[in-house]
Amino acid sequence: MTEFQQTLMLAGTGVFVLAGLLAFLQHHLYLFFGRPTAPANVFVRWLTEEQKEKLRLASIPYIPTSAGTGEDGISFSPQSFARAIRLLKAHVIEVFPPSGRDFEEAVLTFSKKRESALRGFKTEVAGITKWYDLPTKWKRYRLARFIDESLMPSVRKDIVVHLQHGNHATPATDGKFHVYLYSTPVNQGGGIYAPTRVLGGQFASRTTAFAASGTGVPIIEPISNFAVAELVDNNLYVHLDLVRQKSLKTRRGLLLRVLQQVDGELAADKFLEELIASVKADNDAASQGESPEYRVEGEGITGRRLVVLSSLVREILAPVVHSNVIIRDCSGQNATPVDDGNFRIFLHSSPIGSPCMVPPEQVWGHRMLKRETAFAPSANGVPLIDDNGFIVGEIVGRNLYLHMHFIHYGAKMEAALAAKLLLEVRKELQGDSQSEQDVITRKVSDHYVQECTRQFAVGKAKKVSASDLSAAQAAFHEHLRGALLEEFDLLRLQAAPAEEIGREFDELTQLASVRGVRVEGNIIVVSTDTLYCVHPKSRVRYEIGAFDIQIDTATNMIKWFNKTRKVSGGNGSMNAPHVDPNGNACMGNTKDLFPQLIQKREFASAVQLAIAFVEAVNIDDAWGKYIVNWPVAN
Amino acid sequence: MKSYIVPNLDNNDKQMLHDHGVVYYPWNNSDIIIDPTQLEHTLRLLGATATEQATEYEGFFLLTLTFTPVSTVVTTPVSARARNYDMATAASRARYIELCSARLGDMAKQAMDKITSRKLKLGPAQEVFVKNARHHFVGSNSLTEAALKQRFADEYDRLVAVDKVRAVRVTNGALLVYTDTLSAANPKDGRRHELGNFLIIIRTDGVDDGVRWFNSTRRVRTVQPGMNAPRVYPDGTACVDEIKETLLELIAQFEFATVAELAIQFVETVGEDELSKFIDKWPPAKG
Repeated sequence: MTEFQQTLMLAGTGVFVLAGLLAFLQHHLYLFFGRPTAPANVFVRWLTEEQKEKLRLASIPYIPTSAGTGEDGISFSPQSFARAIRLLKAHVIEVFPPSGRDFEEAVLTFSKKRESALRGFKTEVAGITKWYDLPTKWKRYRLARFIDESLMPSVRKDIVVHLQHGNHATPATDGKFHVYLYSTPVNQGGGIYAPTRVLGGQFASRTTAFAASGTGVPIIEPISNFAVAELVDNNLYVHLDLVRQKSLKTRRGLLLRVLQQVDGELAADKFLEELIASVKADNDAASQGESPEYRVEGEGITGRRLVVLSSLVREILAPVVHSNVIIRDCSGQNATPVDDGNFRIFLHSSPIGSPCMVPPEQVWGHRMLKRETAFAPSANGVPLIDDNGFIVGEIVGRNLYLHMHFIHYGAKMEAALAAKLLLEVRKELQGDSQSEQDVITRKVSDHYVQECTRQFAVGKAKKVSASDLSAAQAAFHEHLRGALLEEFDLLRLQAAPAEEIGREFDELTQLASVRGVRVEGNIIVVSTDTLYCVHPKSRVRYEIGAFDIQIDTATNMIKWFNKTRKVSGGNGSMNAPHVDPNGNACMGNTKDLFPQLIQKREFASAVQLAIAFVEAVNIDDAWGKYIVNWPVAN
Repeated sequence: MKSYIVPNLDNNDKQMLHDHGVVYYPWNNSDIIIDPTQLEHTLRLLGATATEQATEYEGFFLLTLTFTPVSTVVTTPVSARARNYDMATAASRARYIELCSARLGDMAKQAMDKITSRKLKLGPAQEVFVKNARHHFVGSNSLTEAALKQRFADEYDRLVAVDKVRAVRVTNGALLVYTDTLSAANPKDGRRHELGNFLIIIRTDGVDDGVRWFNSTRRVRTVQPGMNAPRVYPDGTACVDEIKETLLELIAQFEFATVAELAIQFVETVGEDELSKFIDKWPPAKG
């Protein structure tokens, strides 16, 4: 090889390396340093309250943002986002492009230490590769690791990943956990079309996927109601094609989201198992001898939802209400409390009112798959309140009103939330069984002291100086004042009814120097008596004339037209010392005042000011000095 | 023939219209459809005036309702002065009302956007303030555990002794204060109106607005359907008022008896503001 060829090769390699580096920079580093041009905000969903609190404490600004109905999250500027991911120890798995929105969406995962108890378990991709095919081995290893990190904390057994590429697979029963990618447990003879947007990610139209087979628990994407996966005992079937067949290129962001949903479902399963066991033990301890079997019936609720809810009610509530339980889906309608010996549960209902409360993303730490506007309590019973103050329901006599449905699909995540809720109801009902009034009073008093002591202990968690408190108070006070004025404006507008506006017109006609008011199209014309102006130095009183003051409500502008005379001086034939021939005024530093008053519908003030404007003169002004050209009043 | 969509009615409104013989058809959960023969009667019953706007459906017009206090609705007064106007001025008056009403919708929307974005900032600022106030109070408190418990027990005794407090319950993170019937006087004529019995929920950590009020006797439509009191919205939150700061400070200092007292006072106080003028929608107090 000649020296020239060697140089050429070296230069070629250099260009390659440089191009690769540039591509890498373009692809990844903007997340840390922001884009050089037109930076987009970054949207993140599913952050916990704890994580948001961390951001607040670190003064990292974010804005509550919605990516669509039921898709709430927060968004950051690119710079704040870079700080946020460092603070939260997060990794960006994928960035979904804006697709018409004004933000990109980042899919995050958070660094967690692997529990030592999980070290004995491994995750591998099934099948064999040729010994020399190192790139494929590496990709399979990365895929296995990715799934391992997402699922192992809740699966806690060996995981086998199967790349099915659209083929069905029979559920395995070998004690391992099996993940079948792009598969289904039964042969469905072809698939269905996936929605174009799933879990925040886009799909091309007519992308094939599988529907839930019905043999297991569907993992539902709540916005489109599409089953992204299905859990059949220890087998997980992912219905979407997220890993390419040959290259094994993975849509990691979407796969992570699917696995996060599954993880929630598995965690809920464990939670439910433990919860039911402890409730059962509690029931066994409380019951002496044979306890009667109570019926749990559904009205307007069927299928998996009823099965899940009724089994929980049978275990948790029936033993303490000592009666049959009737569950009714009211779907946003009111229901009157019933007292017929049965215990009733009304879903998405209240004795009075309409749904008016915006629910949080999580209730008692359980993320809700689907949210709807919730009822407020009727205040006729005992409200049930979660840790963050959301009023989830109310017990009125022998009726439990749940302010939302809480169970939409019968998923285990929903069941876990329902179980927690029923447990709270159980606690309330058990507390009520004490009938002696003085015992109740003493109990409440004790409970009060306990609650205050608990809150006092929580208050010890952080030291806050007087200056920090003052700063927080000042910030709060500033926003409170702002909100006060803004709400006042809104209420004034909402509450101003027609007759009130009529009265305002009447007041306008009664103003001093106002002869009449008429409204032509969008223009209010106020006719005045003859107006006068006094020279500030000579004290001579000049007659300016009678005016038509025109207020244009469409443009928020005001004009003055002198009906008696026009006088030369300043800028041609003037309507008034400071009003030009076209009716426009030279208003100096008051020029913003009229548009503001007109916009605020303060027409009476605008008219008073407009009259005062004609009746005053600034003789140091280029136009005002011609006041002497106007006739002296008799 | 025209059909009108009457928006944003709650179940009580619909029941009331039905009870008064209004024939309507449901449009969706909160909206109904009525025909022109029912329009006047419906608006009178709802205590509202309306402007209409064409929809994408031919012949269907969406009404925008403006609610008025009872006295103006029942008598539908036209001021004496209005009756004395000549025809041209009376027409101008009508046009003036129309002009302002048309502008009100847009302006209300702008004002709504403004307050919504403000509340997004107010919420976190409020939370930081109440948490800091609590931390500061706890940090500067040197009572022994026994003394602290005694102080809380005494505070509970004061709380149950507050005038018009019927019962108190303690639940996870909140105190539930049930009141006797509360009433408020209309500053215009001094007449008292019965608001009803209340459940006041006081968050012991001060989050979620700190205090919420729920009327267990009646909810009334004023600027929104289902208002708990003249100045308390359907979700139990109060209109923005500087009393919030005081309430949160008191919560941070575990002064729950004073919080309850102030909360009752807040409901029973009616001022000259835009919300308070709807006090006459609540029934006159007995006795």
